[in-house]
Amino acid sequence: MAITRRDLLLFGGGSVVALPFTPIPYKLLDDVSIWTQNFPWLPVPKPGEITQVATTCTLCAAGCGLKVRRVDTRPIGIAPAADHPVSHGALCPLAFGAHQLAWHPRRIRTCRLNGAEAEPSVIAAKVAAAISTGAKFAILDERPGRAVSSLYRQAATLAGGLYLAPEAAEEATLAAIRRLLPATAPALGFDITNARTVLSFGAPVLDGWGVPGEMLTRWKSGEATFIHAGSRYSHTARLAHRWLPVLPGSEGALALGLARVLVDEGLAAQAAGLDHFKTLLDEMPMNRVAEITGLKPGEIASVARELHAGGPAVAIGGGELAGPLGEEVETAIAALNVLLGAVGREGGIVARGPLAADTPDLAPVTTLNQAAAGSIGVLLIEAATAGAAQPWKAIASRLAPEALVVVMSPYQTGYAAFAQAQVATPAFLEALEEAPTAPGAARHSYALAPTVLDAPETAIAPAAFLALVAGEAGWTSLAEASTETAIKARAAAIHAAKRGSVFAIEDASETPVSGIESADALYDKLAAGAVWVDAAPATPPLKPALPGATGDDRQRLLAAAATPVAPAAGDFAVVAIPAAWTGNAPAGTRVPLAGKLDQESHLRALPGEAMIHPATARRLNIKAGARLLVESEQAKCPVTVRLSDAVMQGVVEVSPGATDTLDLFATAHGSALRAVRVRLGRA
Amino acid sequence: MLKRGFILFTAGAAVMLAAGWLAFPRALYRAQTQPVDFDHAAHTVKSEMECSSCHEYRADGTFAGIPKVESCGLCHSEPVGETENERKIVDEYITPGKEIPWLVYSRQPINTRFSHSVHTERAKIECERCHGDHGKTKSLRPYEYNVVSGYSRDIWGTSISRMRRQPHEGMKMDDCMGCHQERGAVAGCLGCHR
Repeated sequence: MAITRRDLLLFGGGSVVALPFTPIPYKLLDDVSIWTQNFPWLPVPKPGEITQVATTCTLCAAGCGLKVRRVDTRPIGIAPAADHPVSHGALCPLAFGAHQLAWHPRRIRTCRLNGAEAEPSVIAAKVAAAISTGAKFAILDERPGRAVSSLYRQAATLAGGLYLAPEAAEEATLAAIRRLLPATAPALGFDITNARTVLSFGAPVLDGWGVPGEMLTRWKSGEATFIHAGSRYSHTARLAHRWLPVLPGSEGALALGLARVLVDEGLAAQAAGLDHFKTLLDEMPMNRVAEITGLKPGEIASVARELHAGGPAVAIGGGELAGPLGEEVETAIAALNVLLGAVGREGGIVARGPLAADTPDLAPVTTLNQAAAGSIGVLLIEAATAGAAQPWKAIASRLAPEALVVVMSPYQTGYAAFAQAQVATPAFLEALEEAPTAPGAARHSYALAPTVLDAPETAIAPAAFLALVAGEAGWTSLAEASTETAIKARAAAIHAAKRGSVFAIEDASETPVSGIESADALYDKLAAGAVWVDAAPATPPLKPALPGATGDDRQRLLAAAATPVAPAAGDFAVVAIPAAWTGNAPAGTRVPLAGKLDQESHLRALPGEAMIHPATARRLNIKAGARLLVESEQAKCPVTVRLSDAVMQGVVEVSPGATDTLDLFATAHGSALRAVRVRLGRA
Repeated sequence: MLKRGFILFTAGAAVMLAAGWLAFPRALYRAQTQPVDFDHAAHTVKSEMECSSCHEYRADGTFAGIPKVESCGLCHSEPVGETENERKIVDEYITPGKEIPWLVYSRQPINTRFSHSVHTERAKIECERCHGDHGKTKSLRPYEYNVVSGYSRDIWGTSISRMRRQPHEGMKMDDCMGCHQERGAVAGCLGCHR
């Protein structure tokens, strides 16, 4: 019998029909996808015994405890340190991928001056030469509070210059409360561990704020209620027990509205200046508050009652990202805390006490806004990898014409793009680093991150570069400066104070400082990844006075509360708000792993993306994926549009990526990132 | 004519089904013999040792995995029995201090990390939940690896269809997630991936 073409087709047809009923396509798909992940040219860590090193994350100010897993000397992963007294076993995605940062594509591996490779000594000589011509010297320290920071302050003192440090958003409300206290009042912190109700005004408290581990542990415990007032349906808004979707910029009005309910219903704590404050509140009727915030008067009243009944309650300002809300709005939030009886109360705002190593005769800490416009002739910046980021426009406004800007950073991100000189510094894990007290923390802490990985030979530690400048400038007391000496001096001061205890990550043991025989022994423990945590200080009771005692104060406060966003001028009709995630700082450095997750699954808005409500998009004839130019009165930047019904109508959420995007928001309060009016055009 | 067509069509389907379910799994995996045929039962049943007696945890809580010959040498510096396998381990590996090149059935891909201590110490999960009766076997089965992905067969599981498998069969992400879901244990992406 002859086999025909028809026979073959029938046989083949039967095979094809049966193929989906076999495991061949499904299993091969799985195996081939795995095969593509294991191409031989993809670098993989060498197999070998895994060991771990206890250390502290220094990428942002939180100072979380972690363990670096290594094969041989190469880090292959990072895990949180359970039971850590600061971070409580939590880590953010940035820290989880931090072992990749040394190989970041934007890593600065050589020092550069005006685009050409240069020795650090050449750059140091240029800085010293500029100072010798009388140019005003300033150091911007994005990681203040370290022992190395005291070297910067010494340098600023010797040069007759300024020591600049950014305002931590976590400290904004605390600073406002200190303004209501006598000048001798101690430093303050939020006692989140004992709070029962936490009201956040835009502050992303459940999204990498302060010490994320402490906040998330309290949230997970179910023993505290979180209420979030903000314009974005952010991660914090999603996790909070109650979200108050206030109109952009109306936090001040909400704080005064809540204060008014407390006073009207006799729920307010007794405080000095209550009579003056009552007259101030009379000028902010509830219907006006409701109109400004977009909330119903009954809703505001119910929140005020919940805060009173669910005490101890604390109100936290600070706003989104790195942008403070503005002094007057923070004052309104501070006043709300006073009326809640939160100041000086366990579970509210408590005294943190002075740090043993505080040295009074150094240059004071100055904020950028306090520096005179156009005054700085030489600016040395030590850039943080994550966290603090200020619009470049805010920095540039303080620079003199032809000013020399030198950035010390491991990465070509943020300010490095604007500097004439980039000093390549060791990345995280490549040098001994410090994690001082986290902003907003109730108690002081101090930890070290030991060297785990060899730094590139061309990298130089910031303290060593400062020593080079000191040598050229003739500052003999600083010419021998080093990170290690500065840290040993800090350890000696902590040891001498005999306060608090030291927690070792490796065996989860706790040793009182008084039981450690010498300062060197304390240093050794810290250098092995341990953390020192201060004891609760004994301080006199805090007695704040409510604001609004003078007519000027009242007018400023009321004006700030009543005008959430600058009025529209011309066609600047849409309100833009910054939208990003604190752990993924807009001008900072992202780990490749997190970037991949963001990009592939759209976990959050990517830099340069703008989100608009579909109804707003229809009204403005904008389609998803369109390229637009967002223009504020100060800056403009191109964005790609994404539609999301989680965004308020009439609002565009811009994810700050490059510094020009940050400049969009630089209008309202100098270095703040706030809601601004913008217009949208075709890119 | 129709009958002949039906037979050919069915034959084509039958050949494909046979190829898919019988020949494909055989072609997909290659078997390798372990360097030494180790008798787990002699240790765990006869000598009543715990898994962690040899597969120990270090002082810092990390899992040491397969024991080094140095550990074996603590009891077997000289053969304590009369088996050929024990003599081979002592003479060829323990005495010269040479590590045994075991082929690890449960080796995980490089992009994942797995903490034994979290599972066995904190969650109190028995070793058998993932490793079955491996600790009680008298002989080591051949190590089979996938010729396309390079993974051990234990990752997918013995059954090519992954149906009606025992709880310990399979170590794919679905298996991890299934167990986590069953126990209400939360783990984000970075809990297991690096």
